Amino acid sequence: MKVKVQLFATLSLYLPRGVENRTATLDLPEGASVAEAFRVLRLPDDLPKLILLNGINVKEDARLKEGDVLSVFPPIAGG
Amino acid sequence: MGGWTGQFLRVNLSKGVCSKEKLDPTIARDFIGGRGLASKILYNETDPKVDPLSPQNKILFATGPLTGTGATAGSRYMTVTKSPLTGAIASSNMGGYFPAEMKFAGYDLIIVEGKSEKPVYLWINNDQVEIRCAEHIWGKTVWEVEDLLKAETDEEAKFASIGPAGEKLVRFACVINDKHRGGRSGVGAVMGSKNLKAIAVRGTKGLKVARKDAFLEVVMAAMAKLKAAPVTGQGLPTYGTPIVVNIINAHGFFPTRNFQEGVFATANKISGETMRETTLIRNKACFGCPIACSRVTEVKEGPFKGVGEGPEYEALWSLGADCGIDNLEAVTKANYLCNELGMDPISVGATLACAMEMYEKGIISESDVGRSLNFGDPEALVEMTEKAGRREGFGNVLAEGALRVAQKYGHPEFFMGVKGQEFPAYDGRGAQGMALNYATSNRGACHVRGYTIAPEVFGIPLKMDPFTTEGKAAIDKAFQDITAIVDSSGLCLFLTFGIGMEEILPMLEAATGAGYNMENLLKAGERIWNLERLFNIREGFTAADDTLPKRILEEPIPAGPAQGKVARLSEMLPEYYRLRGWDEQGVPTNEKLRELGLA
Repeated sequence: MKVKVQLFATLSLYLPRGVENRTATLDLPEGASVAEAFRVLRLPDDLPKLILLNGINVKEDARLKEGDVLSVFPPIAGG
Repeated sequence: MGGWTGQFLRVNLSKGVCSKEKLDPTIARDFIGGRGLASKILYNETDPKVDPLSPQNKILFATGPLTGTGATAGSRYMTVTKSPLTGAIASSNMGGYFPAEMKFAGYDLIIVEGKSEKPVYLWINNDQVEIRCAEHIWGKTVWEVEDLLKAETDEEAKFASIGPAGEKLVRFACVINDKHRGGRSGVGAVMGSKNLKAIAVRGTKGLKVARKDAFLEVVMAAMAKLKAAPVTGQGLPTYGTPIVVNIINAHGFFPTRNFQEGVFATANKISGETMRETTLIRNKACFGCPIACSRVTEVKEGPFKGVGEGPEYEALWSLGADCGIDNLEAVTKANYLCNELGMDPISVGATLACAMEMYEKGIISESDVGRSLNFGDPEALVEMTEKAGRREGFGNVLAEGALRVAQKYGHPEFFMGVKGQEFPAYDGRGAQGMALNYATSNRGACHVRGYTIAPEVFGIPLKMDPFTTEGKAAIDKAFQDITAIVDSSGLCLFLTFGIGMEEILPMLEAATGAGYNMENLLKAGERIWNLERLFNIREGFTAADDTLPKRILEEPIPAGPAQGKVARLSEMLPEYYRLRGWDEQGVPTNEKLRELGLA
């Protein structure tokens, strides 16, 4: 299944080269978790993250499905 | 005691007289300083129903006891007055270097009253205070004024000034500090109505704190904590407030095209990440701040060429997504114009977005505007920003703010705001705590009176579900009261992303020696909030004003992660009133007023 993973701010460093809009498209096994997507991108476990799955906060054990959009941020605030 | 200088300056422009007065230490302790102390003085000294743009209104420039002391990010002051935008109390928070310089010259506050017959500026050089002719700088932009006045005062002087927008009584005109730092609610128009173009200040006196060793110890610990916290040590220094664009858009409550949508498809083009890759030159700090969130930027070429500061997150939204514009260079140029002309970019963009919606719906015509006014048009943005600041053509209509524009054309429902002030960059339908905060904020729609986005989005200090109304009344009250303390102390609110009351209390107590403890300090925050509420009640505001536009209450967000959501204000407001000790009409009970010493 294909899912889109967006990595923002300092996490952009972990995007594969050449992607646009800070978004990587990953091909993952059916029912893969958020943590598995992070392993593919080599995102370190110990980096604190704010994780949104289709705009809703989730944890790393959440399961993904075809067409999902995962948006991942380091701890941020402001505005 | 320390922290406060113990002295304030009263300037009567009608009489041309400046006098120095002693600060009442009891009032200073109970209302802290800044926003609280100035609100108390304004409440005591002005009559209800005073016309905000008349000589009878007063404007106070109010530092806090921590401003300029070396306290972490102790850079702020508040300009407090009755707002020409809302008719409610206005307190407009600014940083930079002017507020600390005011303290070094020996003044906690400057109270300006009356009206000068001719344009003047104030030159404060420590103990010497002069009202000087400003006819030669009337009509000049903020940036020009600072350069010209430096030459005729002191190279090291700091400035608070207005641009053409303040002179022309644009209802969302700012006072601008240090060329690039302004605030909301139209305080610049009040300064303009008094024919006061600028305040220049030079101070070399230094400040005393009550317990130096204890103060240094807590400041150093707070500095270390801010450096270590990911938000204040990395996120804000690296990306500034624009870092927030993508995350709010990803949550689906990034207001788009006058709140018709909650997702801006091309938000990334106006994001902090894109700014860092394109327009950013370097970051910059206010006095005593280890965070340094300001952005020095440049548009190198093309029609929107320029150099300046910003935009901040709020301006990227208002001048960008809210107007359907993803051209970062145009948004940056419009932001520079806001700084030069002296306007609040939130109100500028939000008012333009309101007009754009009415234009696209056929309510405002091309002949009204003198050009097309579609969403997404960067040339229209830049042209209309300049015209609003100078009240030229259709800009004269926009200069009245979104509520009056919508009313003029018979459709007040297109005004997106509260109590006459336009919303900032979060759609309350997607963050229920922020919806309640907007409805109850004492200065009209404002995000920095109770920034519940911290828990609802960022998980600071704890993560709350943005869509639930449960627990939001309590968190709103707590945030509003604590923010009143931060604002009144002279600290920057952004500190609270890295430190909390456990640092702020000892910092304030070591500086002042006033006997603050957690209980009486939190009570002071609550006292300040209630005093502002009393000011507004005296002006005729009622519970009916604690509401939101019909769109936010009844029209669901059409698509995206917050699809189907509306603001469920009625689930939160009664509980909020109860927690505040107010009656069902939102009026503080006598019991509550006695408890706070306000009876």
